[in-house]
Amino acid sequence: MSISVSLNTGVTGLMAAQTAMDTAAHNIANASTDGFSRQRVDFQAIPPPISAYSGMPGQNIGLGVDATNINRIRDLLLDGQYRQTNALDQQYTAQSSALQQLQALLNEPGDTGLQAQLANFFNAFRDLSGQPESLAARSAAIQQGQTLATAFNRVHNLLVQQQQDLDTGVVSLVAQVNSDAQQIAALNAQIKIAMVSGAQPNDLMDQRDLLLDKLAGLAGTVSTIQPDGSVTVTLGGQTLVAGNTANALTTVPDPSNNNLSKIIWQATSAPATVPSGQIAGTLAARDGNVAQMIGNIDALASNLISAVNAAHAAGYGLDNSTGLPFFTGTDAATIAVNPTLVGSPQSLATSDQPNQPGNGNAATNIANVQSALIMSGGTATLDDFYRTTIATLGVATQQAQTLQKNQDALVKQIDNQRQSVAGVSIDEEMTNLQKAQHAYEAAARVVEISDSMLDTLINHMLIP
Amino acid sequence: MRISDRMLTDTIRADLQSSLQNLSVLQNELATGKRINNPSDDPTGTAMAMRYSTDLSLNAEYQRLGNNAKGRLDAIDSALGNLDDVLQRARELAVQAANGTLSPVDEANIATEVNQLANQAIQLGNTNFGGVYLFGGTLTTTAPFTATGGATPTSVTYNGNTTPIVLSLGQGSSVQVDAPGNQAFLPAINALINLRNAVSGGNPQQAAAAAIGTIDNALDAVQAQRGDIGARTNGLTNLLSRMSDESTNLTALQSNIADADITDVITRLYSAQNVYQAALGAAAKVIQPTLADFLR
Repeated sequence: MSISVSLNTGVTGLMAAQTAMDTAAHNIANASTDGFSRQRVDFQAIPPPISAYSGMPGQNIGLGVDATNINRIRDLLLDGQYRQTNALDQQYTAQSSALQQLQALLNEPGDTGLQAQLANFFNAFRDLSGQPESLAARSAAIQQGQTLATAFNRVHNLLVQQQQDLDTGVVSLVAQVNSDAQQIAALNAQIKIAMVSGAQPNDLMDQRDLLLDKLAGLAGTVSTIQPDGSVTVTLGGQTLVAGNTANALTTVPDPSNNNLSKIIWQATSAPATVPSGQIAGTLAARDGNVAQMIGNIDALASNLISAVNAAHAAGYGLDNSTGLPFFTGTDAATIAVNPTLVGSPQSLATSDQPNQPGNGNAATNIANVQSALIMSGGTATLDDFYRTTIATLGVATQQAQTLQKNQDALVKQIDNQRQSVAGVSIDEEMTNLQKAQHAYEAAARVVEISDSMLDTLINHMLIP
Repeated sequence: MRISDRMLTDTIRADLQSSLQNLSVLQNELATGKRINNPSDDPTGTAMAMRYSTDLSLNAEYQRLGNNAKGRLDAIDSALGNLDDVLQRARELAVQAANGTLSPVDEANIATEVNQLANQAIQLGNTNFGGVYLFGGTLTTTAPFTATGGATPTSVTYNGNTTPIVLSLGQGSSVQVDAPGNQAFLPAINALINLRNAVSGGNPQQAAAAAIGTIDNALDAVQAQRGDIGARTNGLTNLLSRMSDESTNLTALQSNIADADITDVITRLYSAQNVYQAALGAAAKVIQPTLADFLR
């Protein structure tokens, strides 16, 4: 073995230590980076050339160290679990947050919600039944009617607004999905090129994994890694990303659903199913909870309108007007007090006979609508129905919050496990740096000594 | 299990957040004084609290109606009481006239006084209470009695009807708040006119004696109507008293369900604050040092 070989061995030691230091430095710099997996160098001893195995002792010594690979430490199984669990968590969070908004909107139990307004309205008619001749009492009853109608209008508009906001959310989330899918496709291409040339594009793969995490959280996508290093992403069984191509999604108004957005594949116009994730949660809230609440409030308003109008039309005003409706409109959006009555309180029906100003029976009949079984197929009063609606909302919200909390804990646990495998520990990296530093110093000594030996050989032997 | 730096910081962050959330809920309970601030805090409790709210508002309304009705019945009774006095005085005068020891001047005076009493009775029959005529049935905006003959009425017409005014007071209870004028006032006024005519007529002594009977009949009618009103008022008073008790019960029930137990909340709040501060202290100790601090 020649001294130059030892020199070379020393140099490989230097380069290996350098690589180790660079890797440790890279890990330390990215200790807080989202989605970063720690990297580790694979060192391999360089074996002696085959011809060196000549059977002579001292000949089969290796030629130093080679950094064969820089691997990222990551558990793909945990990644898959995390994405699945997080998708559900995002779904529950989206739904829970929408339900909490719904609760705040209705503001029950309280003194200003629909329940209190209904009570005030019927009480005004009870007052009226005791003093039907009083213009003040008539005006008060009409005004309470207007307050109630306005309350219904407001709740309806707020609900529709919330539905619209959720819809806008869906559209923007779909745009994010498209953007992420495109980026993944681009990364697939870059990673493939890098791998073909033998390199290990760890940071690109980290970026891609981060995007895959995000995408799963948005839409519950499933990703599988292909033998050529690219990742295929499927959404509800359909391919979203394959190799360098991303299939785009788009949203179109759905006439069968009040022109709210429907998600379809842009290329084929076929409907896209989103199994979980934030989009699924938002859609569930938009088409389920909020739509149901709108339906319930409308049913409440429409039954109130018909029952009160029936009782009112059968009665007589002070001016003997009869057959007039009290409310105009058909649902919570359109309910309003008949403008004829607003302009002429004398026409408000209070009596059940003509020409009897002291007769307040029609007003009593209107007040009794409060206890009439006119909801749920004749089994519930207006108050019962509204109370049940609110209680059901409370139960649904409670459930969603519990689901979210439990899922949060699950996600955290799996993320912890991921972090345990892939996370950077600064203590560990500092230790590695120390190791690399000593190795570098030692290798430098080897080079120095080899150099000194060469110098002795060349410059100090056989010199006369 | 291998621990990375992010695991530590993430766990600390999550635990502090959860502590803060707990604190926030307790503070909200304390600030609003309500245990139930959202239906999701207690769905069944919310339904019950809403029910008690409705019941309380109904109860308050019916109490108001009941008190107004009582005022009206009291006014009716007062007018009938006055009518009773009028008739008693007329009866005295009738007895005097039937005695036969009076001079024509005395008889003329009696006639004048009875005429006054008749007019008074008509006025009483037209009592207006808060813009409403009490004795006309449901025709409450027209004076129930109109007399022909000016200051010396010869006859009187009852313009009202006999349709009752019944107020519903909830849970099947109701109260009639009117008293038709043709039951007591009409016979009373007619009896008075009759007496005056008797005393002013040809055979005052005999006619007055006969008129006493008519007045007695009128007095009976007044007392009968007063008895009826009295019974209604009693029933109403009992009902109002029950409603007041019910209101107290409902308020207590509602408070039980919906209000926060302040002592309990404050205790839990202190406890949560301590937990939070301990967590902060522990986090501070754990989060800082790495090996880099110790290497030369």
